[in-house]
This record gives sequence, C-alpha cells and structure tokens, in this order.
Amino acid sequence: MALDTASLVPLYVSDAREHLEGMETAVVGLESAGGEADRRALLDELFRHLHSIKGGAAMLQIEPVSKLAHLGEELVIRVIRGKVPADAALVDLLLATRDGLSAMVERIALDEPVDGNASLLWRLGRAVAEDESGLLPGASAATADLPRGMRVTVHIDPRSALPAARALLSLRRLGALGTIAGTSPDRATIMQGALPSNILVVVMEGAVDQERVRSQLARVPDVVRVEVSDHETPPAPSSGDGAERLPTEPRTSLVPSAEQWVRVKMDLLDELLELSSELVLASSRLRERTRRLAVEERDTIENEADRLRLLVKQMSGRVLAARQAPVRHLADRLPRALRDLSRRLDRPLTLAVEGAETTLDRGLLESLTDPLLHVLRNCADHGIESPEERRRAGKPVEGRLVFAARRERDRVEIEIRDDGRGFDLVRLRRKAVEIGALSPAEADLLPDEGALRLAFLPGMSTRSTASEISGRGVGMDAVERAIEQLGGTVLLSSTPGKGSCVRFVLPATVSVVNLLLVGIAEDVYGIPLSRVVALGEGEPRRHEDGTMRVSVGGEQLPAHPLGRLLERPFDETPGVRPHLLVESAGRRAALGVDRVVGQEEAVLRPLARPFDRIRGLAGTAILGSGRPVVVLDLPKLVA
Amino acid sequence: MSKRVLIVDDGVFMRNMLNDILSSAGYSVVGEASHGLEAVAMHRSLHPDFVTMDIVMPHMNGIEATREIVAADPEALVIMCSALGQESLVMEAIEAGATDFIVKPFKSDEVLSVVRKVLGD
Repeated sequence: MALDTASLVPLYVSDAREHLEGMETAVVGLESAGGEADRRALLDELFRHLHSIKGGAAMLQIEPVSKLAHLGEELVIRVIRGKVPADAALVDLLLATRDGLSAMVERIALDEPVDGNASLLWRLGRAVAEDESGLLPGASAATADLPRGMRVTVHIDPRSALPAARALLSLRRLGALGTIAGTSPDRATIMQGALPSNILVVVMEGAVDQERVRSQLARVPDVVRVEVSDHETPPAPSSGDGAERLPTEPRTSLVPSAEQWVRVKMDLLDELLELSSELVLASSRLRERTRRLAVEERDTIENEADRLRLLVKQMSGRVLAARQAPVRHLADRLPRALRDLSRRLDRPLTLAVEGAETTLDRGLLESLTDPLLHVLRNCADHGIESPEERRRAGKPVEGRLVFAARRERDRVEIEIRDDGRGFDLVRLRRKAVEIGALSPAEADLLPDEGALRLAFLPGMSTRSTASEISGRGVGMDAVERAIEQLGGTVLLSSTPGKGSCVRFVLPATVSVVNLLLVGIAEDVYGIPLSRVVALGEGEPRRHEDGTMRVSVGGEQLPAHPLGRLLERPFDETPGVRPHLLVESAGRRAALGVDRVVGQEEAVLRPLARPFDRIRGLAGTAILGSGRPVVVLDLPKLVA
Repeated sequence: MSKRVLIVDDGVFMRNMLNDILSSAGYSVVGEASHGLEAVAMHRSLHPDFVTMDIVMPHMNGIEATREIVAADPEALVIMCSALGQESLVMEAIEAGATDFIVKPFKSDEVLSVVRKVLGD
C-alpha cells in the first residue's frame, strides 16, 4: 500500500512550522537559562522539535530536511553531554539551523524543490566532530587558498543585522568593477549566511582603480573599513577538508508530551461562525413566531423554542472560542527579536513574558506582530538608558522589558513595559512646537497625559537627525492607526526616570470581512463580498411590466439604485453604471451604485445600541487609509 | 526635485510606517502596493526612483517581483524589507537584483541611511 504523501505535505508543513516556532523560543531561552535543570529541559525540548521535523521529512523522503535536522539533533546531544558549551556561538549556530530548516519548509509549502545547505551541514559537522574543533571556522583557515592579485579586505560592522548579506552586496559591487579571482570566505559560504570575523577578502584580477573600489563600497551600508593592497603572501596549505562527519553513537530516545489538539482550517472556522450567526437569528425568529400563537399551543412550543435558543447560544459561544488562540504565538517571536536588538544596539536587555496563555482572536495575531516589534524596538532603543546611565541611576545594568497580556471580559490588553527613563515630556512638547503642531503657550499649558499623546502626532520623530531624537514615539502614529484598524486603542503611560508602558486594548472577538467598496455620491460604503453574487455594468431600462430592469450576469433583474434604498442622494443621470447582483430569500436583484471604489479586507466593528437596530447596517470598518466606512447588510436592505 | 518612491508591503502598518518615515525625510511616495503583481505593474507605470519591497507577500513575493522589475529596468533600485530569520531570503533577493536591505523592526535612521547610500547621496 503506497502512502499518499502529497496529501500529507500541508499537515507536515503546519506541524513543522509549529516545531520551528518552539525551537526558536527554546534556543533563545538557552542563553539566559537559569540553572542546569532549566538548560537541560530546553535542550530536551529542542531535541524533540528537531526529532519531529526529521521524522516527518524522512517519511516524506525530503532528504535535505532530514539530513539537516539530524545534525541538529547530534549537536544538541553533544551539548547535553557537556562536550559543547551552551554559549552565544552555539545559540547562533542553532538559530542558523532553525532558519535553514524554516527556509526549506517554506519551499516545501510552495511545492518547490528543496536545496541542501552545504555550508550549514559543514558547520554542524565540525561542531559535532570528535576533535571538538569549535563552532566558528577560523579566519586564518579561510584566507588560505587565495590567488595573487589586488586584495580588497572589507570589514563589516559586527552589529550589522545581516553581515553576510552585506558581504554579498560588496562582492557584487566589486564584481561589476572587474573580474574576481577569488574570495574568502567563498561565495557559497556567504550565501549560506556565514561571514567569519565579519571580514570579506576579495582578490581582483589585474589592477582596478582604488578610488572606484572605495566609492563603490561606500555605497554599501555597514561597511566600516576597506583595505586595498597587493596580495604578497604566498598561499598557505589549506586546513580542513570540509567533509561531514556523522557520529555513530546511539541517540537518546525521548517521549514527546501528549496534548489533545486537532488542526482545523481557518475557512472552516469562518464558515462555522457564519452558520452559528444564522442559527442564532433563526432561533430568535422562531421564538418570536411562537409568541403569536394561540395560548393553548404556545406553552409547549415556547419551551422548545427557548431550549433551542439556549443551545444555539452555547454553540455559538463555543465557535467563537475556537477562533481564539493564545497570545503565546505573538510572544514567542519576541525573545529572538530582543536578542537581535540587544546585539544591534550593543546594550544588555532582558524580557519577561506574562500571560502568554491569554487568548485573543486569531484574526488579530498576525496584524499585531509588526506594531508590537516596533514598540519593542522603541522601548529598547529610546527607553532603556545606556549601561553607565543605568548604573548611576542605581538600576541593574540589563534593561528590563516586560510583555504582558491579560483578558478583561470583552477586551484583551497587551502591553510592553520598560524600566528605562520614561517618556521625555519636555522634549515631546518642544518637538511639537518645532513641527508647528502647538504654539509655545499651548505646549506649556498641556497637562502631562496630553503631552504623552503628542507622541502620536504624525511627524513626531519619524523625522530625526542622528543625535536629536524626540525622546520617544518613533512611528507611534502608524502604530495607533494599525491598532485602531483592528478595533482597538493605544494607551501610553510613563514615570520619568522609572519607565514607561505602551498598552494595546483590543476587542476580544473580531471578524475580518472582505469588503467591496462602492461610492454613492460623496459616500463610500463597504459591502461584504460574500453577499455579492456578481458585479456587472448596465443601464436600467423600463420593462413591459413597468419595473426597471437591468441585465447583469446574463440575467434580466429588477434594478434599484442603492442610494434610493439608503435614502441618500445619488447620481440620477441615466446611463451605464455598476450594479451588484444580490440574493435575498431566493430572489435576486441588481443594485446600482455610482462607482466601484475597490476591495479591501477590514475588521468589522459591530454597532452599539441603539444603532444596531437600524435595518441594513452590519457595522462599521476602518479602511487601510484610515477612512471609516459603514458596512451594509444587503440582503436585509433588499428584503 | 524630491526622489520618488514606491512602497510595497502586504501589511498596512508597515506601509504607513515607511510612508511616514520617507515622506518626513522629503521623499515623495508615489504609490503603495500590497503584493508583487501590483508592485511590478506600478513600477512600470510610475517609474519611481527607488522601491521598498517586502519579501513575503501573497500572489507574488518580493523576490519574484524584484526579479521582474530589474529585468524590465536594470537600473532599478530595490531595497528589501525583511523580518528576522529570513537571511537566506535576503540573499536570494540580492541575487535576484535587489540593491540593498533593511531588517524589521527598524528605526527611521536606519531606513534613511540605507536609502541615502542606495541613491548615492
């Protein structure tokens, strides 16, 4: 019996992605692990993740993945046995392994061929080799085999986000100036993200104008030094043949923890949600009808109708709960981001996570990642003081950041706190006056809470010179707009010298709808695409029976200007215009609009009482542009 | 005359951020695209001086879009916006013709310094 591997691939991919997420958290946690027991627990977890990724890949016969995961496992065993130290170099290598596996998994997801990662395999091979030759290939071994010729040595800033990528850019620029005779490290190694000592050596064939070399390299960010010389020293014998050495010791077998989880497609959840909404409506209608029955019949039926309504509401609640996911998915990305920030800013930082199991609507998770990372960066960069300043202020040298999430009835609060210098209200006020948002007198009169909100003004410190940053709030207006689009708000608080807090307050449940945007005179309305059967252009003509009809989607349908249904002014000049084909209670109609504006996905915000009683309104939404629109419930309007 | 930029990213937050940063610095944002197909079309019709390009996007990703843009216009300047852990994708993008890159989360200083270097200012 042949295994139908094709159908298993999507499952493997989503499984692998979860393991890779878990791997990332565990690896970053390794660096700051408390004691032996904590470290061992993380290493065991790492092994489990790699083992799962390897197992699935082996079954699907995806060799590059199983090969890489296998070496990852071997490395973890070495660390467990104390043969390899759990230091920063190890963490870097494990992260590179995770990234390598992730790149492969994403290619599998796209049904594209998966390339092996020779450089990564080589690095892992060396790390697990018996002679314990260390994790970082030495720079001396690297420059061994270069030919003679003009030698350009490029030094990349070690704080650069991706030193190897900058090396590649340098290489390409030099390649445009002349023929490259050799490089160290070799191009393949660079392509895999390795740049030992952050140094690139390129040997050019023949003579190349030094000025051109320097001016080209000046255009590559993070290049801190360029040396040009004639290559005098003879090539040294090469060390290391780069061959893999796979250990043959038996593996420790670990039992993965059992958890009851079922994977469900997002579409299914959305369908369930829609169905349960319909059920709630239907059961309400039923209940209403029973009220009009003669008294004798009423009691029994009323009881049943009530029971039905209760059951439906319970089910509806469950379905809504299914849309919830723990905020952990969001929080798990932060440790690695923080580690990277700590390196780039050259500042020690720690992160504590509270309330990782707090749940919020899945639709929000993805949209929150970028704003959250941005706020984290702000806190790390502007909030946390330099180590010297912190020492003087009697604070621990490491900047403390906290991610906290909590649920309050119908909302979820997510905040990032830091123990830094707090918002600089003086600078905020000054900057607001500078950009012309306030007069000096107004700035003085502004109370502190108001001054904090100045951070949200467009232009506040997104404009900045190298040293004059306005104290805080880089891009806070973009953050606020993004959160408002999700139906939430952003609150800022701060204590000078002690720290500050950025809090997102979000609705607990969210529905994202795909909207067709139409214009009627000056107004723009949103219509859920799921309610539009077809869209066409036509000119309504009077039919024999006196009604106006238009041809849409091959059918002659009753035509109504949507503007008239909404009792709003619209363009009444005759002619061809867009029409939406809608269906209600089995009948179809064509609704005319003045223009089709576009299509957009947006968070549907339900209307509060008493507006939710208005027939034909589904709610409101804020578009990406920031414009609020009314969302129509067409079937109700047409009925 | 200010240099013109096309912003490409599938996230509204990122597009807004980059728009804020670049406009405040005096660049003229001539368009925003939310995926690769839009990006290629808009580059062809708008001829911006440079492009900021997200990598992972629906319909057509940033690497493919960069490849097509550079094929049509070898002088095109494309700056990739990558998330953490996507180094190999950045490499792929560079091989596809990207001029440089920035890594999220970024500061406006970083963005502007890369943009200035890319434009040769």
